[in-house]
Amino acid sequence: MKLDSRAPDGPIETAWDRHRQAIRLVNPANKRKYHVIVVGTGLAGASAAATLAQLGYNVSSFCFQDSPRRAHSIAAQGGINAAKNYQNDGDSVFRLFYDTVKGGDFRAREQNVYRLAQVSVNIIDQCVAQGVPFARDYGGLLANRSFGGALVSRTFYARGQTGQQLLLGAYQALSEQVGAGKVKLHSRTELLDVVLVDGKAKGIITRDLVTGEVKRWAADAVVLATGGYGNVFYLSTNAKGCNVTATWRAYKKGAGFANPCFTQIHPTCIPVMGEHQSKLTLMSESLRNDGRVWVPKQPGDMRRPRDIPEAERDYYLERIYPTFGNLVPRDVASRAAKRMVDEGHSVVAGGAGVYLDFRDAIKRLGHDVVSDRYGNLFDMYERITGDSPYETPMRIYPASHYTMGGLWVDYNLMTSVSGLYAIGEANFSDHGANRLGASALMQGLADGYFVLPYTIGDFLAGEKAGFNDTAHAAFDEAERNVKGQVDRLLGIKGKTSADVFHRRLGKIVWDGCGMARTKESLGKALTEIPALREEFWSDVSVPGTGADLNQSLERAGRVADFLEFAEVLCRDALTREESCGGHFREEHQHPDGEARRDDVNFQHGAVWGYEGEGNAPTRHTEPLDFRYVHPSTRSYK
Amino acid sequence: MSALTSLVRSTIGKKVVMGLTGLIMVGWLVLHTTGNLLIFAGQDAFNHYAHFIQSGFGVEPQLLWLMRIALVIAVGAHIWAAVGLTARNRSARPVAYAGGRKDAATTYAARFMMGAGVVLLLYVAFHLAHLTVGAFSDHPVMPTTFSKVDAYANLVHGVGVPFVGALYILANLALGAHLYHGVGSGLQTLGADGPTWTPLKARLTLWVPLFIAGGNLVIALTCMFGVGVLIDAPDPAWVSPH
Amino acid sequence: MKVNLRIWRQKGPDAPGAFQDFSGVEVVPEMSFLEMLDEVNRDLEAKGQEPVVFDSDCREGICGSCGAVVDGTAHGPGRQQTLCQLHMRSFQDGDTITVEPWRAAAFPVVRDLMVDRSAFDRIIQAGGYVTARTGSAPDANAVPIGKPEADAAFDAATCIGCGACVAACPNASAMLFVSAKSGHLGLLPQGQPQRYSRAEAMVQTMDGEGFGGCSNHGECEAACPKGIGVSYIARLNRDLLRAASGAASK
Repeated sequence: MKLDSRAPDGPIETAWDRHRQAIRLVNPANKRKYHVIVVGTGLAGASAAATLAQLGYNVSSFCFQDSPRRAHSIAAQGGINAAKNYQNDGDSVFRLFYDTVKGGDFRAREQNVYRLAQVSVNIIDQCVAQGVPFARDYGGLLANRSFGGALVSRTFYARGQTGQQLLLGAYQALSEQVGAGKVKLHSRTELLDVVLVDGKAKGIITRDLVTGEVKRWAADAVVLATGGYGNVFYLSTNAKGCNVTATWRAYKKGAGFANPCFTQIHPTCIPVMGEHQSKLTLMSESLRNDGRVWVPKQPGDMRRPRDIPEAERDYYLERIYPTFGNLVPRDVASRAAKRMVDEGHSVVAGGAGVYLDFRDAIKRLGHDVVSDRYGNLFDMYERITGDSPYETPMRIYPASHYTMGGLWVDYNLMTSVSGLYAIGEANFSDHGANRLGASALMQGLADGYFVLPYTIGDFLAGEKAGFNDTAHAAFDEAERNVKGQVDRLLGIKGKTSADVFHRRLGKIVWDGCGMARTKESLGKALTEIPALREEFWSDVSVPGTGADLNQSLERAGRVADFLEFAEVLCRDALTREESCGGHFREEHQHPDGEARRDDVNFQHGAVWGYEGEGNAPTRHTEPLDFRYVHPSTRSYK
Repeated sequence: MSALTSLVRSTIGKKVVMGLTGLIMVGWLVLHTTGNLLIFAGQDAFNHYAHFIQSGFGVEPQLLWLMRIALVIAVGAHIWAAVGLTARNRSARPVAYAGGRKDAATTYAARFMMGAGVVLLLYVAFHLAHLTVGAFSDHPVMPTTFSKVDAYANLVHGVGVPFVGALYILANLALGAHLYHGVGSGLQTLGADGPTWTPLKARLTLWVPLFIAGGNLVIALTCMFGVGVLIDAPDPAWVSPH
Repeated sequence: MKVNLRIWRQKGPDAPGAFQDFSGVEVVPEMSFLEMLDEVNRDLEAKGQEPVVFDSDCREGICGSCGAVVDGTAHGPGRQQTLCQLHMRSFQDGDTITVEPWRAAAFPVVRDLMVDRSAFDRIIQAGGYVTARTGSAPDANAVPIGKPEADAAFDAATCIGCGACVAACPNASAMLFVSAKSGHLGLLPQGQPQRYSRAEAMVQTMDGEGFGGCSNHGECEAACPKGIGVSYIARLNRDLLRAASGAASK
């Protein structure tokens, strides 16, 4: 596998400008002759489809949901970062770049991150112009708040619904183009394969989720904006429909899968309450601005939180990390919570959890201010748990939330397959081994609005426009494979729901490759996963037919891909003999329990290449070079 | 297409027609009820008022017809819009909820708008025949004589007949219900909302039906049970034309 | 605890449908309503039978995918919640719970509890946006927006497009949905240039999709998981009247 990052050399401040100057452009009159497929309609997919259409390209947009507006970006709560420095607190493009590289534990490509910080300011402008109702102060100017891993207030927010408001902005821009006929929208349609013609991505195979029809689509380039793979853990904060299928199928067609073991565990989620649980609900990280995390000093202390006197509480984040306190990055906060629970300080009887307390914030700011900032989150919490955070501290625990790994992409966001692009959470590019809060929205929109629409021109300019040969043998083969898998799943007629297999897989992966990993736990997972996969293929029950709407079939197909993907995930975690960011190997830690990176052997992106059914994948590397932010041991103390 | 044509063609256009014509009728009803309440000022005052109206408000007899035509148009347009919207609303949910649908916010009055409307249409026809045209003069079941000049006696004796009075009471209950939803709804359709209008709308929703239907109910009840109060000294002057 | 379920099953938009009874379904109070349906489905699948089809995705009340009429109420008993936020602790042991899809001509049943709400997308496509080419925006702080306007716009913008307003309306009207979008964008300075054309275009499309008219019952507001109020409907009406009277162009 050839991994040419194409990241510009020279001064990083001008790298993006120089690159845009250097790459090829498609002349405005010719753009309408090109057809681009964009799969996924979250922040990255919707913004890319809308912007490509505005530029003049013909776009086909696909989503498995019933409407593009339902993509999982909608659930992001806290905010979006931008180096606007509206608070006059010393923020700058360089500081955002610095924080992101450091927050990512030095496992991201510097040039990409710098570009992200640069375009962050344009995103806010663009969204405000679309009518995104960001929070404002009484003078009518934009408000900011601070987020984990940063010492400045650079997070723009829309109550606790920032993702929703940003997505609606992008959805509306996309809808305008659909109305204008520049984008053809295909909802309730799932990608089942990517089609390569002469080594280039020239189309996709989809299944219409209502009619069951398997269909071929040809285009001049294909963009995947299909999100992350957090649902490999079954219990995660991801929406039920989030899946790895599109990126996994792309991997099997030759796209390298980078750093799958970089998964993020979000520190503030509502703890698991029972076997029946279908997903975990995140409580925005912004809560850590005003909430204080603590556990009882005495292990096993199950008194009501209000009955535990101040002296018997351990505000452990403030104690261990006095500089950042409750605002340490996510991975640090998550592991600290795990350590407290492992040492017996859990506040959930028979389960795992710590307190997030607003008592002092309410005392300091008053009920109304707290309610204005977090009211909807408090309501959400109360609805699920029956407890009011105004009266009793929230109980929280980390849960799988975001995946930094994804399809490897170069500086143009092209995967290792020519003409196949990956944007947003689906790629691996900007967050390294750990993503800072409020940076996912920023990256999705940066890719979709401001990067891909330009860089894709470089590829298209070299292509003859208007590829539409769906009769090509490559389509025949891809369609045959898709139909073969559908028939195979339907033919098993086993006794167990795919959902049950998914839950079992989730437990294996969480135990073996969750918040803390060991050689042993990973080895165990790597023997259990193939066994479970075998069981799945002999016992899964998929009632109904493939010729119409069949949710069992949809779920089974996604679980089948997770069952394959999970192995590469664990393999990557096993090979990366260091701890960094979201990847914590217990063998590699400092005596105080902090992660120990190995920059000599692992300062690189690990990129996995598919080698065919039954063969072990190959591990390739993209060495990383840090010229501006020098790798140091991350310390938030 | 101009904004006006587009509005007229839309469901909201029909709603605006409903609201405007409704408010015209409400305005007229307020006047009518105020006039009716003159019954408590005595035969003389009431009959002078009736004469004043018949003479075209003391200006020009044709004016009365102009008003009548305007009201007929308003009623017609109101019905046209109501029928159109109701048909549309029915077709918007061709399959009903098999397990039923629970109301959470609406009122009986709102759900009964069409029914009350039909009741009111029949009532208006009867009321005109009864007290404007005098079609039932000396009718076997309504043994009162219609006088062309003594509107006061027509009202007092006409509505005093128990089953006629009962009809008036029922009709005014329907009117009250129709107005209870109609006034607020009409104003909402015409865009009345905000710090000034929202509380005003709430007050009007209550007081307008209370005044109109309540006023008429008091009159009907008085005609039925308190005739003595009204006609303690009938004025012979009104027996024959002046 | 145990509950009995009557769930609407229907093969397709034109197929006849009927309730299917599930009696003695074992539940725990902490379960969400959808997790209860998941359990029902896992059992059905294990028996080789087709599961109950329903839409759901985020399961935290923000994506707007889920929705069904439970015991006669859109999204089930309780205010300001989506179906996924309804928990079994809202029911009693032995209850019989009736579940059926949104019913409206403009939302044809796809299967079982799943309906086609693409009419909402077409309404937005007709005008529910601010035209702002990527890259052409002025600085975000160039136009200050007073907090009251920003807050009012936000309240309208919280619409999740779930369709409960239509499902709950005796007339299956989409006025709350349309007025929320029109209110969100029409209250902001950025939305002014297209304020009136947007309202007209969306209403025209709404009518064309076969939704009913608004009779001001207020059922939509009561059913809305985000508590969006009917005052946005008055606002939309006002905008249309202003446009029609020519006042908007002055």
